[in-house]
Order: sequence, then structure tokens, then C-alpha cells
Amino acid sequence: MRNKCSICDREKESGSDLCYRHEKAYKNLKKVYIKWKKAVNIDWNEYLKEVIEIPETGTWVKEVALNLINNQKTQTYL
Amino acid sequence: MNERVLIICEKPSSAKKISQALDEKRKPETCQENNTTYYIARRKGSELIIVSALGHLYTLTQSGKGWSYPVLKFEWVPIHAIKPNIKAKNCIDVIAKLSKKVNAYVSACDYDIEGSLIAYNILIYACGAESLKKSKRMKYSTLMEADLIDAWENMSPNLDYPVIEAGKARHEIDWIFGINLSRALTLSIKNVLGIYKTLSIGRVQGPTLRFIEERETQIQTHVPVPYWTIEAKVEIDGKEYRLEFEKETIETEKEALEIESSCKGREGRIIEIKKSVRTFPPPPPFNIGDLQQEAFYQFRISPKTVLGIAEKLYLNALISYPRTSSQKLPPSLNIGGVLRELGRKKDYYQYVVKLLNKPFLAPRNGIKEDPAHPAIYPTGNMPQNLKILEFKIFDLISRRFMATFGDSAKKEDITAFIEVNGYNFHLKSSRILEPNWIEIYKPYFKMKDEKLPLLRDGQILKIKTLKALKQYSKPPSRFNHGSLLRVMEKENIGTKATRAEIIHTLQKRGYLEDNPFKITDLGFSIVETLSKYCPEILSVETTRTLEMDLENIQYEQINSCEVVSKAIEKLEPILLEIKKNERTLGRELGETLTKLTRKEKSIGVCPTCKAGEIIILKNNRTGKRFAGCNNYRNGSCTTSYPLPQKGRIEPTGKICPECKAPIIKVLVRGRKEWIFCLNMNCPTKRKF
Ligand SMILES: [Zn+2]
Repeated sequence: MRNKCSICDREKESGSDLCYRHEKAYKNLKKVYIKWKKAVNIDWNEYLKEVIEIPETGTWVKEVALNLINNQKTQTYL
Repeated sequence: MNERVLIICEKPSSAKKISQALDEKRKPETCQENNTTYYIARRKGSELIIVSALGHLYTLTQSGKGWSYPVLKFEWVPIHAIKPNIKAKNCIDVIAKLSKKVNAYVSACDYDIEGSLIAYNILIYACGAESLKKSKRMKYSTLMEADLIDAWENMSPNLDYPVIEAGKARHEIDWIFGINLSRALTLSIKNVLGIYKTLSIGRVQGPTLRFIEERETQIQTHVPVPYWTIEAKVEIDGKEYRLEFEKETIETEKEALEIESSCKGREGRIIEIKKSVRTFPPPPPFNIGDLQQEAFYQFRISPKTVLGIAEKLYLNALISYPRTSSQKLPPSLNIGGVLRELGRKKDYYQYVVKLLNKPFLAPRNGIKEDPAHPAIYPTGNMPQNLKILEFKIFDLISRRFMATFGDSAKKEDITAFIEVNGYNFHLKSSRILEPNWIEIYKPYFKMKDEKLPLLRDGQILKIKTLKALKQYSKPPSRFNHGSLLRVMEKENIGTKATRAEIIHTLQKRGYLEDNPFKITDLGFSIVETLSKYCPEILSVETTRTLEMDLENIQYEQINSCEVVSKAIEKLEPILLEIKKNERTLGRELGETLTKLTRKEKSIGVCPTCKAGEIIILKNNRTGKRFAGCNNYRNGSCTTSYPLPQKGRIEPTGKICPECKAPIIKVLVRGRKEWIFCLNMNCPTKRKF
């Protein structure tokens, strides 16, 4: 069983596929989505794409968002 | 001669000043022995021998041998016993010899924890324990002649033992924490991976690094939230003014666009005009923390540099003792006298005249106190031959001192409430009515001063532009010298004298870089690993409690032995935890270090064998650095390039289009960066 974060090679947090840093970024990403939905009525995928483009977005958040987008792509291809 | 007294000062320059002040003829005799200078002054029939330390002449070391932990037995030894230091050795020898000729002793080091401890250690170890009973303490806050004579005439009959005890306890606790944590971390890596790399984290450095780590984590996990603002301008008498919408931010796009479409191109009507006058009292005089923060804000100079400059100004008798927490000027200070002296300076003359014409002069003191020293104030001596930065700090202190006596400033705020199609906007202005103290402190004070044309109720205004602007919430800013100092002060970790040095040590150890501060990969790894296995090291609470105990020793509320024992009790379980988790902890830290070393050393792919990496190597014989392919180890490639011996070398990740050798960047302090390919025979270099 791979014990590494699916984004970087750091150790996973227990009960997650991500390390401490990326897990924290992912949680924030989910939390802030509610505010975005209210503000601009955006769907999750569009939200991820927009967040990546904003300069103020944290690097770990960008890595998580990119990973989520790429994974969705693989899923659609499958 | 009825008495011979040995006076111990902290630094050569203060010894000189003290000898000149105390000698009745102002002409003390200068003596030299073993390259060490001391002075002989004569006063009321007594012979005063004034010697100087060179800062701390004694330090802590482990009692007994062995490189393991815990290390809890220690002793004070001369610094030259740890590291060769001929100056310190000569100094101690001379003091020991002179001490045999005297029958009384005076500690005249700076009146604070460090000064008191410096003199105490010299007395007990160089002059002998018997000297302590015959020792007195001179206490002064400036190196002005009158203050020094006053300090001499009103000496304390004994040494300031509570302060000495507090100093001893602080050094001992810092030493115990430092050496044990350093050994525990270093050994955990060595025992697991077999590599030797010193890693340290001090008692106060832990929580300080944690603040920076937490801030960086907030920045890297920041998800911006969109919001809107209404940006509007009105035109009055042909001039444009900014309108503020009643709500600072709007949460939804729908609402923002609604406001925009309702107000755009409309007219506004003034429904009310409110005026108010606010008073701004002058700022209190500086303590060291305030001075360091203000100097960073004004001139972008680090707290450590500011402290160094302030100390130099003090040793030149231009300002009072700078390592103070106090924001209060002493009641005994001859304010008029100091102001008159400052008034000799052309730039200050007009302010001094105004201040001296006031019916009475009272400073606006702050709240913070210091039992040993007042707030920082200029002595009235005029500076000569100061370097630019030194003069800037002197000017800052002098103007702040004068401003403290000024009257409160008055400012008028005008707000016009404007209604635009059912929405409310504000048109604001403020102007200084009476500058008073601001005038004195003006180079360092910025306040908005903007006038509005005459407005009246019911007046119709033309909205020139109006639009809803989409914005994103920003992450918190990284700490800079000023804001980090402020947090340390607020959280009560470190002391006024040590905070700047703690920040500097974190930089030196490679845990922090740049300014504003960014935590390095190594710093991150240290915090993450420690917070998993021994979070106590990073705990603000632990450090703060200890800090309070240390301070209370001075006030005789707690015994120093008790504080040291308590600190050891805190440390022992931390060390046990490290030992227990040695394998995982060592592996985690070791992995980061190996990765960093690899990253640091690799300059790029070898253009010859195309398999190895070009790394920085050292010639064992000459000690000079050069770049070579790491396949030299298996003998398959001998590619090598000379390197400049000075500056930091950084890979650029690029290769030369002509010769394919890696391109590097060389960074030398104070010079423009230098970018070139490693190959000295490359065709691109022919033109040189
Ligand atoms: Zn990760």
C-alpha cells in the first residue's frame, strides 16, 4: 500500500490520500467553495479552474485543484 | 592613598568615558599591559583602576566528557578555554593581576542582566570569590560625565544579586536547552542514517519559527474569496473626488451589479454633512522595541542593526542606555537643559524655542516600565562624524523625544452623506488643524491631509464614474522584521535584548530566508517533525511561562535554582520523546537534509557523459571549490570546470545553447548577479 500523498512524496495523513499540507489545502478549497457558489453561482469544476488562475491562491491549493482536475479527466477518459 | 579600587566596565569605550569622568583632573593615566588597556584615575585620595571586559569573558561548558544527552552538568569557564581567544586571555590575566593590588571593587558594567553577569563572573573567577564581599555597584543610564559622577557618589553598597541570578539562570537554561536539543536532533539523524549534520533549535527560536511556519501555511493554503467594491467618483468644481460606498464589500455579484446599474450615470444629492475634530496626543518616547519597529518601518533596517547603532550612540554619550523596555522619561531629567543643547542644531532650533516657551514641560510618557532604565532620550551632546544610518537613528530618537513634549495635534474630519438612487455613499476628507507635535516628528509621520471644496446640504453632485469591481481576498502578509518583533513582544517570548538576535540566528541556521521572511524547506521540516514528536519545543506557552519565571528572579519572587530545575523538568520529557521516536524523527529530518544537499549541490546534467550530474566539489589539497561530474566516483567521467571562489552559486536550470554546459548564477553581496555557462572555452566567451 502506497503511503505517500497522491500529489507530493510526503507521508499521507491518516484517513486521507493527501499529506498534511495538501489535506489542509483541500479542506479550505471545499470550505471556500460554498462562498463562491453564493457569490457567483459556479459549479465545482469551473471553480477549480478559476482558482488556479488567481495569483493570490496558495501554491498547495493550486496543486490540489490541478490534481482534482486531472483526475476528473482520467475518469472521463476511462 | 587610603583606597585602591578596581572598576570593571563592559566595553573599552565605556571604561575610557568612566575614567575621564571620575578623574579629578579629567586626565586619567592610560596604561598598557599584554595589549590590554586600562586607566588609572585619582579621586578624593583614592586610586581608581578602570578595566574593561570585552563583553562576556566567561561561558558555560559541559562538566565531564562525552557527546551524548541529556547533559545537565555544566560549569563556567573563560571563553578562551573553549575557543582560542588571545585578547580575552590577556584581558582576564591583566584583571586578575590588578585585582591583587586593590582593596575594593566596583561593577560598572551596563546596568542590566548581561552587564551585571559580566562583572560578577570576572569578580568571582578572575578576582576570586573574596572580592564579592568588597564589591559595589555603579548604576547609570548615560555615559554623560554628570551622570557617571552621580552614579559613583550614590553607588549601591552591594552587587545586584537578583539581577545576576536572573542572568545566570537565563544563560544556564538557554545553554541546557540548546546543547541537549542540538545533540538529540543531530544524534537522531546520525544514529539512523549514519550522516553527521548539526541541527539546532533554541528555546525561543522554536515558537518564533512556529509563527512563521503557521503564517506560511496560511499563505499556501489560501483560497481567495471573490467580493465586490463600488468604485465611484464625483465631480465638484471641475475636480474629481473619490466616493465611498456605504458597505466596504459586497458579497455577491448579483447585488454588486444591481448597485452598479441603479447608480451609474445618476446624480447624487448631499443629505447631511458631519464635521468632527479629533485630537492626537504625541507618541511616548522610545523603548528599544518601539525604536526597532519604527526604524524598520522608516528605513527598512533590521532590529539587530538598529540595536548595534543605538549602542554605538550610547557609547558616544549621545543617547541614554538603549536596551530598555521603559516608555517613561525619568523625573530627574533636566528636560530644559537637554532641549537647549538640542536647539544648537539648526534643524531643531525652531521646535526647541516653541517647546521652551511653553508654561510647563511634561512628557507624554507611555505605560511600559523598566526597573533599571528610563526610555531612550538624547543626552544633548551633538553628534559628530556619524555615518548616515547612525545619524538617521539619532535624528529619529531626538525628534521623538522633542515631540513627546509637544501639544496634541488636532485634525478635522468632514463626511458628506450622499444619496444616489436610494443607495448611500460617503465623501470624506480630513485635514490637520493644529499640527503641534506632528511638525516636530514630521519626517517620520504621514497623515492624510486633503481638503474638500465648500459643500452644502441638498447640493446635487455629478457622478463621474461608477463601477462594481471584482476583487479577491488576500492571504495574510509574510512577517518582516517589524511585525515579527511585534508578535514576539505581544506573546512575551524572548527579551528586549535578545529578540533581534533570535531572528538573526534563525536566518543564520537556514530556517528563514529573505525579508519578508519565508520559511525554508529545512525550517518547515524542523517544525513539522518536531510538532509531531515533541510539540513542547515549539510551544509558546512553555517558553512564555519560563520567560516570566526568569523575569521574576530579578524581583526576588522566585529563586533561580527553582527556575533552572523547573526548566530541566520541562526538558527531560522532551528529550525522552525524541529518544523514543529517534528512528522516525531521524529518518524524516535526514530525508529532508539529503534532499536539500542534493538540490543544493546539483548544477545540472553533465554535457559530456550526459548521465552524471555536475556538482560542486572541493579540492582536498587546495580547499578551492570547482564543479565536476559526479560520475568521477565510478571513474566513468572526468569533466570539471573552475568556479569563482566567492559568492553563492545557484543553478539556473538552463544550458548554454553553444556548448551545452550548465548555466549558473553567482550571487555576491552588494553586487549585481552574474550569470554564465561553466565552460571557460565556450565560444560565447570569446568576445571577452
Ligand atoms: Zn502532499
